[in-house]
Amino acid sequence: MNTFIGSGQISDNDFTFDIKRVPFGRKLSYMSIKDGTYPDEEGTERSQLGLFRLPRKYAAVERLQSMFFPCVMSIRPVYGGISIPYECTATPSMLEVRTEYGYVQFCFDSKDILRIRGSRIGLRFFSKLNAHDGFVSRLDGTHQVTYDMVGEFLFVPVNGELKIQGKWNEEKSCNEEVMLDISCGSDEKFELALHFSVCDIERCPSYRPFDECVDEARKDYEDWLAVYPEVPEKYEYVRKVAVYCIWTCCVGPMGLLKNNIISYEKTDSVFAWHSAYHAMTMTKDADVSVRTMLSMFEYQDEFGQLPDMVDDRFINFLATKPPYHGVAVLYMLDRMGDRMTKEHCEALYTPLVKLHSWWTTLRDTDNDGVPQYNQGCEQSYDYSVMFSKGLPVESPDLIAYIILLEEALAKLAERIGRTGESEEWLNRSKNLLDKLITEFWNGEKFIARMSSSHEVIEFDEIDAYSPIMLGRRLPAHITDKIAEALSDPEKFYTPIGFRSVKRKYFNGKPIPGIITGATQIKVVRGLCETGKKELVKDILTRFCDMTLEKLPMYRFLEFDPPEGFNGSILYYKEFGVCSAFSSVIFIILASLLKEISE
Amino acid sequence: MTITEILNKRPVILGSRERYDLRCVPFSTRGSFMCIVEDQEDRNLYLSISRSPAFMMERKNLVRIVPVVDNKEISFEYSAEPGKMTIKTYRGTAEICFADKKQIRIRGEGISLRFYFKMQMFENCSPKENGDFEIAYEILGKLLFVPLKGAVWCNAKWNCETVQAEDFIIDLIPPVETMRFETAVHEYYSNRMRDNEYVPFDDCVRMAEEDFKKFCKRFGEVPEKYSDMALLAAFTIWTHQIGPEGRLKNSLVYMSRTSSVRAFGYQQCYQAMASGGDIREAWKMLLSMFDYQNEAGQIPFYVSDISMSWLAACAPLHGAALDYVFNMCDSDELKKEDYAGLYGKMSGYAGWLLDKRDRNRSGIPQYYRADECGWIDAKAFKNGRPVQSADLLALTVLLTEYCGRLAIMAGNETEAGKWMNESKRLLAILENEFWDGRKFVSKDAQTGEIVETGVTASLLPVILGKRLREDIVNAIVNRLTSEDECRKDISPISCLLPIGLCNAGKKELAFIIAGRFCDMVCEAVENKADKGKIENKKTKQDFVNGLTSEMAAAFLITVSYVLGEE
Repeated sequence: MNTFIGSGQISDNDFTFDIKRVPFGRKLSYMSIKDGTYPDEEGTERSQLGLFRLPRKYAAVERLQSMFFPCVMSIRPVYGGISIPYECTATPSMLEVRTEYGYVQFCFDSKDILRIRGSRIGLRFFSKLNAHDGFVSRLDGTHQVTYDMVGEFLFVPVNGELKIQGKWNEEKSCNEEVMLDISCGSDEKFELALHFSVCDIERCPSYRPFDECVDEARKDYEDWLAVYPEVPEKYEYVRKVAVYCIWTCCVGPMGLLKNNIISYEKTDSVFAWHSAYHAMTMTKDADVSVRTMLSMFEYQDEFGQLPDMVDDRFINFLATKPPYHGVAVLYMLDRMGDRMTKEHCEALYTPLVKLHSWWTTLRDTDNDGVPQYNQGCEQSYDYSVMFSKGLPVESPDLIAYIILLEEALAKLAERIGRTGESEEWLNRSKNLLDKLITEFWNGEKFIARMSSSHEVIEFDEIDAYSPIMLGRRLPAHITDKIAEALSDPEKFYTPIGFRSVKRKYFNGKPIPGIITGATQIKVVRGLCETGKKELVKDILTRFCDMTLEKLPMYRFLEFDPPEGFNGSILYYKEFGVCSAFSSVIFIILASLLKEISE
Repeated sequence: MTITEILNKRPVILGSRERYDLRCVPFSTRGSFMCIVEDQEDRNLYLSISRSPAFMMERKNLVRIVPVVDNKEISFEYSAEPGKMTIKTYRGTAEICFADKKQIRIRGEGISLRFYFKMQMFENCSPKENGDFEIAYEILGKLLFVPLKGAVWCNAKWNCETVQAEDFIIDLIPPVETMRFETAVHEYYSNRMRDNEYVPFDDCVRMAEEDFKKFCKRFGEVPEKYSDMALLAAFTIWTHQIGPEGRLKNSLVYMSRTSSVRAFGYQQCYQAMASGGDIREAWKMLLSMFDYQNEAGQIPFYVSDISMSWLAACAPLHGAALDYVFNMCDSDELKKEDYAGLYGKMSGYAGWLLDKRDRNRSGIPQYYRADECGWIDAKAFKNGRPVQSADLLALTVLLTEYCGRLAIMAGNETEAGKWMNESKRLLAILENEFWDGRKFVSKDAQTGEIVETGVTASLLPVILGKRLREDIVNAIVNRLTSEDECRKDISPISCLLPIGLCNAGKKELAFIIAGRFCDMVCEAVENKADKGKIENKKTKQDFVNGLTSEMAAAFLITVSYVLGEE
């Protein structure tokens, strides 16, 4: 058995995680590293580290060669020119790669510099290039690799030797690959600073001590962790991982992003409604919570729409996401009470009024006072069959969100002294609630309907029941029916959580439920409020138990799909593993579990 | 003749039966992101949106347009003038114009017009209650079809499994009584509602024509022989001027509306040179990239409304451009503040270039990658090392010289002296170290080895004119008259050759080279096939090169030498 050599700096008691699932990164930085299988210069896939950087790569008619390269660069340890097996251990502030012959460590020195140092072994970086990408040795000891879609990576060998080599494509008249090798100097050590930028940059005249950077990152993470609520003891490790995933997804200003904001995951953009979820978990600090809630509103257009996604390069208004913000604000007001000052409320009021205005004008084209979704992505469950009869669709979950948004606006208006407006919001909210109950409840469940024709759309998805988020605002006969359906294993109940779509069968075999954290969030609080605490406690415990093995993910599957079943990609691929969104949802659910268990 | 005079004689610039058609340049208007193109291969017309997130990412053939009668596609011809485009069929016509840069107006008589939409994942079409339809694309933005007369019929359907609208059509249908339809198409990024009022079609056409005529005042006179091409070149530049919008803080000239959909820094210099008839416009173009200048003095490689790249240096054509502009234009209108303003920015850029493109302190500026000099053989960068090149030296001789001249004009004598000395130093290096007795050369910046960079790079230093030693100028003249290779080059940067030759006193050769260049451009872009009708099936092709705004400007710059003017 091989013994792998480490630095001894990471002890068994330290909080560590596996970078096969948890990307190694740092708050403010756009870079991250994962351990996976990536292509090498021979064209084969092998176990390597992958260097990633935001943002998502948008679909294009012509697929570029590098778009099939899964990461920006693949990285692996080498000894004597030969690739060697390795294992990784990561703490929030340092990644250590151990091999039989020596080790390499990574840390972040401020947001744009990755610091790498090695003992007795070297590293090989490999990447594919497109026609307008390239590399150049700048003849001052630094080497630059640039990608049109990504930016510039500046390799600065602080100690040791760096060799860089391309692969020229005669036909395209460009280098289509680049390979960089860093190897130890005579002291059997190397040190490399890897800068990321969008424009031509300088190396630092000198670099801070590696260990200083590690300490700084550790402290930053620990300060961030302190803001988060507690969870039941057995999930404490998952909590630390979840908070870490959120911490690394908080990216700093660059390009179109003007302030710190939390992205969906390390390789994807910032979504319209995530900041609302994050704000809910930060109520220990009112400033932080409100600032986080407002972070997405910087990209709100003049009509009040929040873009579906933003990143440093694009603002995407193709769709949007549901106005969950009312739910979040009510929660924040409840938790923080007077700690939410008049100034906080004022800061939130106007952008939320604009948001409300957009949903009730540009998303109410038949002007009947009931808002609509224009397509699946706006609903958040892209595949929703509520759109099977056409567009636009007036949906019960959207109505519930707007009812709560109006209530939140009423409370904010009251706090800032606009009593008249507050009453108006409250009335609107009540009227819309009446409409929901009288026009959208068919005795068994909520229905959706086409805008304009009002043709009824019966659908068997969780959103026919998610207005339970209104809790006791709904009459008991409705909440009872909902609880019944949600507790029924033939409908929405599974041992590990409520499924998104009513139970179905394929060739007599049950199709596994897709259980998402976002679904649980929609229904659990309302169920608690209407007397179903035990059910919720049970569900949340088993849902959170899933994270003990898998860590937070976008969805869990009950079991494997039956043979021959050809469902959507959600049945076959794990999405959002250790994403900031899945992590914040976990924290919300686990902390709720702790509350109701006491 | 002036461009306006040419236009008055021949208002139709492009057409299926004309010398030039929509395969070489799309129909559009200044500032608009929408345009109508004809595809090289299938010969169909497409509505396109000029947005591209990265190189080689375009959806040029976005929405196919075809006239329809009784639900059947019919064959057509088209013609385009600056103010409108006409689609002619045996049953009726459709006309398209730009009401403003965000709105296309379409009217038709006797026929319907059909639009075929191909969607990608997440893209959709949703109806508004009032008969309008909104089509939403990823990255490209949104379109709102608004029926003004007649109806917009749409069969779009959302597919829950593929999470997108299926491919669909929109028909613009005339009412039975009048058989005349009119539709507005708005382009926008997030939200829009229909306007309260719509300016009459003919007024829109007239306004667009007037804008084009006003725009053309900046171009000089052209000889009769090249008048068609000159008109096309002017139209190309006019339709490629985009912004301000999004990340565009001002108006820049995009290289192409369909393939390289972005504005390159160095190409704004060509536009300044082409605008020789109006010093203010030329000056504005010279200043334009500096609005994006960062603290270090760098200006971007390219900019568009949705992207900006700093990953290559902007080629330093500003000195050459100023040299030309001061020769061509009457600069009386300019004041000390104008000179000071440009000096501050240009000197910042020159300082950046001489520092950050010479990190080994050789005293000789370098190219880091092929993108920094579009006219150089990319193979020179195969080894990933910077390249010192005679053409770059020549351009920086002029850049620094003009920093000096601007400093003088701005009243800053000390700084001026510094720049003039730098210019002389660079010229000495060019002549002593980069001339091999027969031609100019380029070198690997680390090893000093000669690297092959192609014919154009080795001829370009002639832009220095009389600043160069006579024997050097004569050797270049020799190459241009005898070497075959030198005759074939059609890259836009070659427009600097006749300028340099003229400045060096070699007027006759300048005229010959200019004429040759202009002929080559005309031929490349021309529709050479039988002027047959376009039918709805694949016809035999002749390939037509697209006309970029870069080439258009180079043409307009060069064509003045054919007139015999300086």
